[in-house]
Amino acid sequence: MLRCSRTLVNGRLSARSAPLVRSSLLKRAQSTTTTVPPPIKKSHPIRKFFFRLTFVSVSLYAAGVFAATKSDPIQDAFIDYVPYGEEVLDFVEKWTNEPIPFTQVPSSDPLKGKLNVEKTIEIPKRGVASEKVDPLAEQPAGKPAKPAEAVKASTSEEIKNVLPDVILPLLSQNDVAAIDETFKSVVNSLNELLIQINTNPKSPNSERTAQQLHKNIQELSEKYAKLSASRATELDKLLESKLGDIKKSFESKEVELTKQYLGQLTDIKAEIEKKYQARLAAEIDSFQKTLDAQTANLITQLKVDGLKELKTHISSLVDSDQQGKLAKLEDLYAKVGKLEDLEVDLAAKVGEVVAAKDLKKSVSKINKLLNLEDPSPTIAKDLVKELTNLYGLTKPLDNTLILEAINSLPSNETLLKSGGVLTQAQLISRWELLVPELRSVSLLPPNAGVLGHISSFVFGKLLFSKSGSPVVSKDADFSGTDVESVIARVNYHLVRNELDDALEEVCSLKGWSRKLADDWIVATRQKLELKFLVELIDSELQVIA
Amino acid sequence: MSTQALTTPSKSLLNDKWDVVLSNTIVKTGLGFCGGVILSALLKRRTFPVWLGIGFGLGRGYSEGDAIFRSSAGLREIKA
Repeated sequence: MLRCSRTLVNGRLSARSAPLVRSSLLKRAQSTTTTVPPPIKKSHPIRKFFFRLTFVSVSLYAAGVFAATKSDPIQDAFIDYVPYGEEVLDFVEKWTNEPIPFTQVPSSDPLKGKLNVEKTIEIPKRGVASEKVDPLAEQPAGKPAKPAEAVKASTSEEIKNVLPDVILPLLSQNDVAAIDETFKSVVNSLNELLIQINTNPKSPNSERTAQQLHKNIQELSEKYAKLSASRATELDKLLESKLGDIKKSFESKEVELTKQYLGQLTDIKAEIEKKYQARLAAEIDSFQKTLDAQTANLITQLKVDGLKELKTHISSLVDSDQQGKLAKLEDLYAKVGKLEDLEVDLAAKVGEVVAAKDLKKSVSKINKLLNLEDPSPTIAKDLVKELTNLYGLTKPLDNTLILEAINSLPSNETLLKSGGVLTQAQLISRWELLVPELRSVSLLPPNAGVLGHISSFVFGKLLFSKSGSPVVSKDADFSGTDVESVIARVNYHLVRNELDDALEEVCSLKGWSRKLADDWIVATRQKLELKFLVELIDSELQVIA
Repeated sequence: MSTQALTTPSKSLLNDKWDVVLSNTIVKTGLGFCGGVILSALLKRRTFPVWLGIGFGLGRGYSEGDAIFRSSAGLREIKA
């Protein structure tokens, strides 16, 4: 290509540049002739590849073998997965375990022939695997099998040749001497034979020694047979004696066990009899009870039947005697029923009357306490007791009015605190004590001070006292509202035992007069309330009764 | 106080008031007298400070008694 391009270039340049080109070419030729370039080494890629491949495979195998010798799992993997791994390992092991030079070690095949070994099997590393053996294939090709005698002769000769200097050790008599004389002579014969083999294996005495050995062995076998026979007879005798003893012991045990079982049998028999007797007694008892019950039932049934018959008989008699004495029996029965109801009503009425009587008695007791003339220190307690009794008596009546009246009564605590109720005489005396106080404040102006009180006290002494009560008429009312008029009317009502009117008059007071009479009003009102409520209960009881 | 008022009978309400007023007046008059005596001693034993003190005491007692009597509010308005 370069040449062509050069020719083309040269052709194009033509004659115009011909002298210049020529001179340059000449210069180049001169320079090439003077400096020779070094020869370039050509590489061989195939050879290089094989070399590298060999090197890598050898190094890999070497590493694998090294690892396989060190570790069993790697060895297994090497044998299983690496081609020719087993052979390589065998080779390496042989090389490492047999450091004898190859020239001195006999090959395996001649050793086989010398030792009269027909065949040897090499056990592979992976273990023994059963394979079919072809005897024909095992024989080397073109060689017929040798007869046994020829093989023996050849082996003895070969052994002699191979192991000329082997000395067989003698047997020791110490172990067998104490046992038997025959063993001793056998050992001696064997030792003689061994000595002869060691000294001169081809001597004629060896045959004699062998015969002697055979004889000794025969004697030994006879002796052994005799001994075994005697041992057998002894053993039979021993067995017979042992069997006799065992039989005797078993018989004695049988007798004992029989006795024991007989005793147990009698005990069990007695127990069973006892149980049976108890069961029989229970059954007899239950049967007797059943019989009694059946008899009782039968008797009851007979009674019922008899009663039924009697009833039918009586009914037939009644039916037959309807026109006679028993004609009015039903009327009599109805009248008796009415009488019974009447008696029940009467009993209820009697109960009510008794209750009403008790109530009246209680009410009369309370009235008596309220109208006492002489003051009693236990009036409060007596009054509370009677009121409680009255409450208990009226509760079963379930009368709303009575219950409300009792609930409106002053409580027991109030009565006990105030000491019950005051008598008429007590009320009059307290009023008389209150009158001078009322007079002293009768002239007080509204919101009076010290001067007003002093003046009222002074001028109250100058007032005229009044008495009696004016007659109230439709035309004119002469009742005054001053304190003296009120005092006179209250006195009048108190004397006449008109407590409610007197209270009304006192309650009409105003100012300090009303305030001073407050306690008297409370006491009088309490007595009046009690009187009124007791009268109410009494009248209600009269209405109920 | 309330228990005492409750236990006091209504009849003696005014008497109790009188007791309080009179005792108060005596105490105040006594105090005025004492003050007057002291002032009299200071004023070269003149008697008028004593009478003046007694008068002040009486006046004070009277005014307080008046208030005590008038202070019972509602007494005249009780309805039966």
